[in-house]
Amino acid sequence: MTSIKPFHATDLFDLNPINLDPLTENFFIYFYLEYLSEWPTLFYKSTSALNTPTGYMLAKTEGQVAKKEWHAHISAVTIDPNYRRIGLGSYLCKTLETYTQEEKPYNAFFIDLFVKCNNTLAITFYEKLGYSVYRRVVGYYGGGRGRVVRNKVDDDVDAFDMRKSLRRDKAGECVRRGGRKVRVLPGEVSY
Amino acid sequence: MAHHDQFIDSALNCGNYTLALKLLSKKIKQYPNSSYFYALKAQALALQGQNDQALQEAQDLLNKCPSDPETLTTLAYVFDLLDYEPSHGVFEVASKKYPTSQLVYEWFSHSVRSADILQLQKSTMLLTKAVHGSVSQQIVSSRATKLYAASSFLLACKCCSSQLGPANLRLFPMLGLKMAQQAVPETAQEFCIYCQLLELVGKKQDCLKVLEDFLAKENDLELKLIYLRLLKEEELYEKLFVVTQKYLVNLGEDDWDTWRLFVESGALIGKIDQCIKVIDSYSDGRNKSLAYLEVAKYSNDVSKEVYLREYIEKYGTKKCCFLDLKGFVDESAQIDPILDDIYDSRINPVLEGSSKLTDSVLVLIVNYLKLRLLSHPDLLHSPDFIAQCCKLYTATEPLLMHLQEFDFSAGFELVIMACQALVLQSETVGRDLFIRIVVILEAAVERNPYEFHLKLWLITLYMKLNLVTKAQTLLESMKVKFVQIDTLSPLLFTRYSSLTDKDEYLSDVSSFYTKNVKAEVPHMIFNCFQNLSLSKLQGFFEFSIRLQSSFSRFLNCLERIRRCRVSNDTRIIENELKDDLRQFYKIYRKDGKDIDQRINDNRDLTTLWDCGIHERLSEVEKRLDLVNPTVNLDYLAIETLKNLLIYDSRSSLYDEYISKFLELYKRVDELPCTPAEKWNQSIIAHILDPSVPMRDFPEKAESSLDFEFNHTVFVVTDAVHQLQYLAKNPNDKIKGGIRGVQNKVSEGLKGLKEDLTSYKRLSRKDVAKVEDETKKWFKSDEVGKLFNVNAREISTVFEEIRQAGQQTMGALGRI
Ligand SMILES: CC(C)(COP(=O)(O)OP(=O)(O)OC[C@H]1O[C@@H](n2cnc3c(N)ncnc32)[C@H](O)[C@@H]1OP(=O)(O)O)[C@@H](O)C(=O)NCCC(=O)NCCS
Repeated sequence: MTSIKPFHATDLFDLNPINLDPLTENFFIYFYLEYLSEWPTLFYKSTSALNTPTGYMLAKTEGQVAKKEWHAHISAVTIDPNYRRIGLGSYLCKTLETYTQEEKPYNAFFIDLFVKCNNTLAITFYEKLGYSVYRRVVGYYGGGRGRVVRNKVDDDVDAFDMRKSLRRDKAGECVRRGGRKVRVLPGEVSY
Repeated sequence: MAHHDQFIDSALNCGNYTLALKLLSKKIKQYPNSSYFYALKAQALALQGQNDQALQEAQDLLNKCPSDPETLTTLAYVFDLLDYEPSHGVFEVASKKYPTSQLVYEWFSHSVRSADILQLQKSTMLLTKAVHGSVSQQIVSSRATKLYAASSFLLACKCCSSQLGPANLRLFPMLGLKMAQQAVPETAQEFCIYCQLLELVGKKQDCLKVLEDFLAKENDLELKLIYLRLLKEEELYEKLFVVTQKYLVNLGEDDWDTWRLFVESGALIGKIDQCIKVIDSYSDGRNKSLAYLEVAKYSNDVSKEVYLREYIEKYGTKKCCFLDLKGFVDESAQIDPILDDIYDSRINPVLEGSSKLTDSVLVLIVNYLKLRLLSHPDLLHSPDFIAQCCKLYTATEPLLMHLQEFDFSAGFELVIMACQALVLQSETVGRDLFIRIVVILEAAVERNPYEFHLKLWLITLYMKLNLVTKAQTLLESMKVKFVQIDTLSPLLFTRYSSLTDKDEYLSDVSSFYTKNVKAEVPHMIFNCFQNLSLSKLQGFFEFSIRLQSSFSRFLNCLERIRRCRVSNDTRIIENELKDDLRQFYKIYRKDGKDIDQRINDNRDLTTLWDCGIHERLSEVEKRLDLVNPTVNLDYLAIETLKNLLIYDSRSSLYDEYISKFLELYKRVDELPCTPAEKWNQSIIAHILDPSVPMRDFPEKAESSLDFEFNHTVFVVTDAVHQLQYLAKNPNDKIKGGIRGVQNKVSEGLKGLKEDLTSYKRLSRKDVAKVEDETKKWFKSDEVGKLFNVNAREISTVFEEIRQAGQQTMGALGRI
């Protein structure tokens, strides 16, 4: 059984069953609180019957409307291992679509996210939801170490920027085919 | 404006108050109009223990109504040091006298930093009326100040209700509502505050109307939840039925709480048939399957057994199955036949080799056994249960070879359930049992390396085995950081300083509170106000308060004190840690209901038990607690008071410390203290009141693989240092002779201590002996054999135990 509830700061005390997962990042407190205060409706959780969190979505909006870059960005989506493979991750992502479609106050053109190129599980997960690779961000997860060169790709440190168009992107201009071949450097993806 | 002087600051920081006072009197001569130096003078006097003079200086200064924020902050600190509560806060006095927007904003900021909701309420209210010299001086727009004030009234009602008194409880929502109305709410966030205030003043119908209108335009989650709750509370079931159906069907929000309300309201208005129709036609999913079970609660026409069976058929191979059904399985009669069928048709064929073993079958097996245990908890006492867990684990072990990186296998639960049963079924609880379980769990974690429950169990056991370095390495492998320090680290740092002389970990924990929390949280609360994300404010304040008054934070402080004392570093205790002890006590003595009137325990004591039947098994816990027991608030209080009695002799609360300490000590046998801790407390009780007898000297543990081995030596050594300090810093409240006690304790310690070489020799001997015995148990014992652990695995575990044991002994040798 699953309910969707707004995330509150005190939920941070109850995330261990979710965040002890090795692929889930534990961020500084300010990071979570910043999302809560800047994008209060885009940080929400799924809960069990006992009202404990079973997963959460952490998202924000950014980009300029004029350039049709105004979009929602998934910063983290993660599910308690006890609740995986039952469509919960997908449900959290679909909920984000309803919150950022024409719905006020966001009304975005598309949703995007970064995923490590070697995280095939997550890539399949997003592809199933209708996301496609828009571009490869070379050296995105390199932590600033070493010189990043556009033609030196490495699945362990590069990210795919994956996108899904929302209704506002009527002509589908925000996505493209063959995005895996388009390479950019981390500095070129700021909004 | 304050003029900082680095010499004065450093004199104060390093505890040289005489020098600080000397420098301050020069400064005061130089700047006779700078209130800041007067405040610092009061601070230095208070720190030096000249309480009366300090209070006089502080009060004289306050009467002059200084308005410099740093002066006011210092004054607030001085009053705190003196345990004196002025009738009005210092910022309040100043702001009321000079209600400029800057000063009132400082008051507001001060209350945010200290997470003081009642001061916040007063300051934001005054902010709405504050005078600004010019528009450019206006810090927050007039509309925003009204929303701040409205939110703060709401916060005060929600979080501090027991401190408000009946008149304010009525008045605050009204005033808050007035503020919100004047601001004219526009966004969902603003409506959220407005609606809660409407609700508090009792205008529930108006509230429902406002919510309906807003939700027709924007489907906001927070407002939807208030709306549904209110419909239920107002018993508007017809409406609730229609609305929940709209969300479920028209808007496609497949949300369990909505389903529950839909079924409940349907049942109450006699429309359960309609509910069933809606469920029938809904797209397949977990909630749909469970909705039938929810209907079965209200209708005899729907067979619970049929839908339990159907649910298990569909979701038995998913890990969520057990947790989803937990609330629906109440009698074994219902679930047993289903489980028997599942076993015969789907599990047994796999065990017999006629059907293929897959990950899905493994999850089904785990769910099967968990549900069985849930309906028959006494199985934990049965040797057959251990045998069954082991048989199923062994049968599914081949799957572990194909585990993908970072993935978890569900099979570990079979191991944990077997170990829980082993704890209950063992004749004795102690080293041998703990070692056996460690071996079993280490073998499991080697093949399932990211499984964190296994690691949490191992950490707990390694602490009981006096192998703190092993526990620490495991915790570090889990990358525990930030908020997890507050929730999970106590697993390691509880009594840490009685096992090792290492300091870094305790300091890291401490800097989470002094650096991260202090720098990050208030800043973000301001951000939350600025963005008018008003629905989040309550969570932000509660989060901040829970960290400031955190059980773990104060527990870590006690550990640091013992660490510093044993290494003769009393300066840190006096200059830094004593403040934390005092803070603890000030909150503790309030003993109130509101979140800011009590110590908040944020420790995660449940994830460890989030397997098997997902409950803390009190019988198992009790047996485990025979060694290094889990601590509680009474423990924290008696240990803090012990330290306050040693270090805070000048406090005006000293007599209260004594009586509270003795009161707790009277029931020390009920407290989760070790024999050595009780003995230590008895010494303090005895010197305060010679009629209280000292307990017998704590016994030395025989094995170095026993928590008590290091713990006892450390605690006794610590007691020697406590007495040394008290002898050097006598106070007239201590009636018993310290010298006599000191001699006895020092004598006792001599009999307890050995040199490093003998410790290390003993450890080597112990480990070798236990290794032999453990190997024998796994090889020949009827229960031991079931676990299928081979000698190579045991040797690997013992190799590490040997090393960790030597490190543990090294710590003993150094103190
Ligand atoms: C990625 C994650 C969020 C997926 O959550 P989930 O609730 O289990 O996903 P869903 O049940 O909605 O899965 C949808 C589809 O994704 C794919 N998928 C998800 N997990 C998978 C796995 N472990 N192996 C293979 N495919 C998988 C499947 O195609 C699945 O459909 P199916 O179950 O019908 O075959 C979850 O595994 C997780 O929290 N991982 C750790 C954190 C993380 O990696 N987050 C994403 C990185 S940006």
